[in-house]
Order: sequence, then structure tokens, then C-alpha cells
Amino acid sequence: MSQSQHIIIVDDEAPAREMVGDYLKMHGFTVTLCDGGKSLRSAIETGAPPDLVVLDLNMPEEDGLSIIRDLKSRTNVPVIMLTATASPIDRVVGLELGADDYVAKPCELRELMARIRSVLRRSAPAKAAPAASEAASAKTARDQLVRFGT
Amino acid sequence: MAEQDDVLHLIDDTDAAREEAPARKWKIAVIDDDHAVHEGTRFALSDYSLNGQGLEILSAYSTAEGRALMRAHPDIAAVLLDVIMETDVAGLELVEYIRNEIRNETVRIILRTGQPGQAPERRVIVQYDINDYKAKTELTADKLFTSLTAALRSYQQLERMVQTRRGLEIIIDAASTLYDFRSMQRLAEGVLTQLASLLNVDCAGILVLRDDGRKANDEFSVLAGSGCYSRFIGSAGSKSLDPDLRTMVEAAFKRRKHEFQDHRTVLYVRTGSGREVVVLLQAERQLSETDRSLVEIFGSRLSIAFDNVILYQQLHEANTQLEDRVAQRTRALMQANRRLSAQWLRLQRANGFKNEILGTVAHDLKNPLGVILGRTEMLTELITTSASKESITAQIDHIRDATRRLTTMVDHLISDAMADAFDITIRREPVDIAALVGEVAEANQPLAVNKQQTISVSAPSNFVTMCDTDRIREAIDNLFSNAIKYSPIGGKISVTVAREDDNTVIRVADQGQGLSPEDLGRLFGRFQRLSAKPTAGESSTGLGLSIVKRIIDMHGGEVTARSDGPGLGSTFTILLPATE
Repeated sequence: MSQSQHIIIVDDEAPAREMVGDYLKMHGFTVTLCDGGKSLRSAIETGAPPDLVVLDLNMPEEDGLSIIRDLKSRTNVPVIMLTATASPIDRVVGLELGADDYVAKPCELRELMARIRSVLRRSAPAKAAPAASEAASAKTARDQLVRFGT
Repeated sequence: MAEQDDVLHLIDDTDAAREEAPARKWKIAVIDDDHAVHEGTRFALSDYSLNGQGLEILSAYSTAEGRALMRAHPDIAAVLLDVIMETDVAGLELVEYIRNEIRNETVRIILRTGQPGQAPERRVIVQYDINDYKAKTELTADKLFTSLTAALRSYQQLERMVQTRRGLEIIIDAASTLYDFRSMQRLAEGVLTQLASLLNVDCAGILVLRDDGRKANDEFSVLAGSGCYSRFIGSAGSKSLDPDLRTMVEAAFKRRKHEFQDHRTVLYVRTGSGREVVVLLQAERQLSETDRSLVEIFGSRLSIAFDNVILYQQLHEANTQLEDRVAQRTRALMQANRRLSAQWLRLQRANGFKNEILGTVAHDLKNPLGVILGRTEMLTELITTSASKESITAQIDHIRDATRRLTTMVDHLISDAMADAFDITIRREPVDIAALVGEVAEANQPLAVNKQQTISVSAPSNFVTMCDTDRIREAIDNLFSNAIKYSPIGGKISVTVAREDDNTVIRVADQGQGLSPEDLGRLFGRFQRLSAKPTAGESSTGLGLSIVKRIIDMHGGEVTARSDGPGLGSTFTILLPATE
């Protein structure tokens, strides 16, 4: 496992994705910002493999749900959806398509962070060898404690 | 059937002797080929008298003469008929002729024969209604007297029955006629006509009606009159009648009963609804008992006929009132409808505007708000972790940027939505502004009435201006509804239409709370709430005056407001320029 986990943020609204990006960077993540499905695919193909994708469902060109379907058909990278509060059906469909969790927009950043960590915790053992996984998660937890400066 | 006139005279004369009764006689016929029989009969009956009437004896000496005689005198009461003349059955054949061919069923027939024992068959007696059968030898005065008297009495009774039947037929026919009358006058005329035809005599009559005898002023009115009474038709009140006629009528109202007196008959009828009718008839002759009973029967039907007319008139009146009310309601409904459709148009605009804003708020505004929310959260975190001043400033810059974007967005939003809501096109046509203002005033009337306000409109007629009817109606309606909305209960709203320097000027003045100087400045802006408040809790969209301004602007005109200050009312003026 690399020093810093890599998270891709997909949102067509630049100020929004930048804000989430800034926040995740503040908390020690490596961040790649994408403005839609196209740039997400190219980031995955050419860039460092992500540990998690934060995906806005409501985008004008390619909608989030079809991005999830496409993404899950190629990789099992965990996905957290950013959804409008008023659309429970999108959340249900998204989860059934393979998304791992969701946060309603506008979101509390701390909630987003907690969910990212939660998803990462769950997905880590699947990626690492069983023996190494405990050490890895213990290490992650310690890193986090250090990072939060407690 | 016998000719009626004669019959009637006969009947009349059967009543007790009256000095002026003309000397009428019983008409009888002797038909016999033996001259001696004629003479014998005349001699035997020379002193005959029944009910004070003597006999008029007509003679025929053959079957042919007999036929002619019977044909010529249908009022013959009895005939003494020889059986054997030209043939053994000549008399019987004549009977057959009388009964079946000329259909005289009332004449009494006494058969006589010179050959006793040659009695006609029983069948003939029964079939042809033969009254008696005598031998010619029985020519003595006594025997003939008995036989003839029986025949004449029988004839008299038959005539009465015939007359009664005729009278009843008239009454029954009259009933359907009288029940068809729709006005009192016509019914009254009908009653007099029917009575005259019932009595079959020339008579002068008068019919008076008293609406309610229980009332103190027992004035009656003359509904119909015939003969010498026709000059009283239509006169109201007893004073217009001759004193003795008046006395008779008043006596009848008092007596409440029919009265038969010499040639005069007075009918009194009281209807179920309490009205009283008096019919006074002056006949040319005295009325017989039969006449009286018929008149009484007729009278008993009258109350229904009169009530019938009264009910019909009441129904008719109720119907008319109902129709008026329906028409009135329909007018009110149509006004309300017009008003509603104008309001609907306005509300639709306001609603479209709000939907537009809401929709955008839900979607577009959320993003910058989310950014601001997130950045403040990060800011809080940075401050608690004593981060560098630069990183804190960076967050604040981000927040400011987002807020600016938000503000711009809201501005665009409002102007876009506004443009939609005010997407007004103008289609000019010649419009009678005065009529339009009147129409709008009428449509607003119910609202004004609710607040006991009065709307006065002063507009020259046929005032034609080129403009868009629907839009200008909407604008005027807006001003009207504002005036009503902001005027106190019982206030007065005056509207004037005038031509000033070729411009059309519409002024709507109210007595409302007026406008403050600040109000005057922002009056026609969007979503402006002024210092004045609706006086009956009405709602307002805050768009009305801005729409008025937009409409008038589109017409190249101007709308202005003037107020001498709070509490002093306000006047809104629309000016539409003359167009080429």
C-alpha cells in the first residue's frame, strides 16, 4: 500500500470538485479531479489506480449511474455517490449497480470523510493478502491518528 | 230534436201564470183521412186548457200531408194519428217517418183506429214510443182530455230533460273553455258569454270581482259587462256604478247567495282563495226552474275557474321572477367568470414565475451553497488546527467566489423568470375604451359590493382607441382590483376616461391609505410591498403594478401614480398615446 491513498473526484461543477479535493488533500489523500465520465476513464487508464472514486450523480453529459455501471464492469474500485437529497431512487439504483455508499449533497465534509474511510476499510482486505491486511489496516488507523494530530 | 227556441218558450210558460207571458198554446196535430174525426176532435177539445194554455190544433188529411206537417212543425207536442188511411199501415209508416227520418223523439203520439181490435203490434208501440192507442169512438171530451193531458205532460218532461241535457253539455264544454283563460278579464267575458248561451236568451250582464272581502276597503272592480252594462267595464270601485246597480251588487256581497228575481239573476261565487265574484244578469224573459238549476250548477264551477286563473297568474309571475333571477345570476356569473379568467391569467404568470425560480433554486443554487458549506467547514477545521494564514485566506476567497457566483445566479434567475412572466405581446385593434372600462367595472362590482364600496365610472360613449383589448383589460382590472383592495370598507372608487391632447387617459382614484414618497418611487417595481395593506386581508402577488407598467410600456404609454400622502387616497393614471 502506497503512502497516500488515491481518490478520484468526479463532478462537473469545478468549484464543488475543487472544494472536495482541497478537503481530501488537507487530510492527506492524493486527489485527481475529473469533470465527467470521459476524463474519469482516461484518468483510470493513464494515471495511478484509484483506491476510491467520489462520483456526483447529477451531471449534464454522462449521468453518474451509467458511469457506475461502466466503471464496475471493468474494475471493482469502491465508489461513493454524491446524490441530491430528493432522489432516493437514484441512491437505490446506484447501490444496486455496485456503488458502495452515498452522501447527500450538499454534504458535510466530515461525513464524506467518515464514509470514505469506512468504505476504504471494508475494501482494503479484499485487495491485500489476508495476512497483510490486518497490519495494513492497523497502520492506516495509526496514520489517521497521526494525521488528525491527536 | 225540436227547435230550441220554441221549446224554451213552451217550458217558460209552464211556470205559474205571469201577466206578461204571451198567450202560448200547445201545438197538437190531428192526422186523419176522415174529416169528421178532425171536427170531432176540435169540438171535443175546444175548451181544453193545461197550465193556462189552450190548444193550437193543426190538421193533415193524408200521409203525405202528415209528413209535411210534421216536418214543418217540429214543435208539435202531440199528434193524434189515424192508423188506417191510404193503407192499413199508413199511420204506422208515418210513425216510422217521424221517429226515424225526421228524428223527432219528443213529440207524443196517440194512435187512433176506426177498427177496434186492430191494435198495432206491441212491437210497434214499444219501438216507436207510442203513448196511447185509442178507438175513434173514444172521441168524448173526457177520454181525449185524459189521454192528451198525459201526452202533453210527458212531452213537457221530455222537453225539460232535453233542455237540461243541452244546458249541461254547455256547462261541460264551458268548463274546458273557462279553465283555459289566462286572464281575469277574459274569463269574466267568457262567463257572461257562456251564461247567455246556457240560458239561450239575450241578456245584459255584469261581473264584478272583490279581491278580499275581509279587508276593510271592500272595493270591487268590474271585469266584464255586456249589453247595457258594457260601459262599466274596467271601472274600479263601487262609486262608478249606478246607485241601484251598486246596491244590488253590494247586497249580493253581503248576502253571499244566488238570487233569482223576475228577470234578474244574481250569482254569488266565493273562490277557494277568498275572492268573491258577483254576476248580475238581466234576461229578456223570466228564467225557468231548469234555467235556475243550470245557472246554479254553472256557478258552482266558477270558483275553480277563477282560482285557476289566479293560480296561473301567480305561477306566471313566479316564473317571470325566476327568469329574472336566473338572468341576473347568469350575468353575475359571467362577470365573475370574466374576472376569474383575468385573474387566472395573472396568477398563471405569477405561478410560472415562481415555478421557474423554485426549479432553479432546487438545482442550480445548491452547488454554490454546497461549496460555501464545505469551505466553511474546512475553514473551521483549519482554524482549530492553527493552520497557516494563507490556507485560511484561500478558503475565505473560495467562499467569496462562491457567494459572488450565487448572487450573479440569483440575478440572472430573476431576470430570466421575469422575462418569461412578462413575455407579453401586443395586438392592436380599435377598442371602445369606455365600454371596456364599464365592463371591467361591472366585473369588479361583486368584490366592491362585498366591501360596500361604490364604483362610479365617467366615460364618454364610443371612445375608440387602438390597443390590445385583453392586455388593457388586464391592466385596468389590475388598477380596479388594487383600488378595491386598498380602499376602506364603504369607500368610493371613481374612474374617468378622457381624451387629453389626443391621448387616452384612464384615471382610477381611490380613498385608500394613499402612498408614501418611498412608495411612489418603487411602486411599479417587481415584488414591491408598499406601506399600504389590503383592507380586507386580500392577498397580493406583488407583481400587479409591474405588469400594468409592462403592458402600458408596450403600448408606448405611461402609467403614473399620485397621492397627496398616506391616508389621502391615490390616483393611478394610464395614458395611451394616440396612434396613427
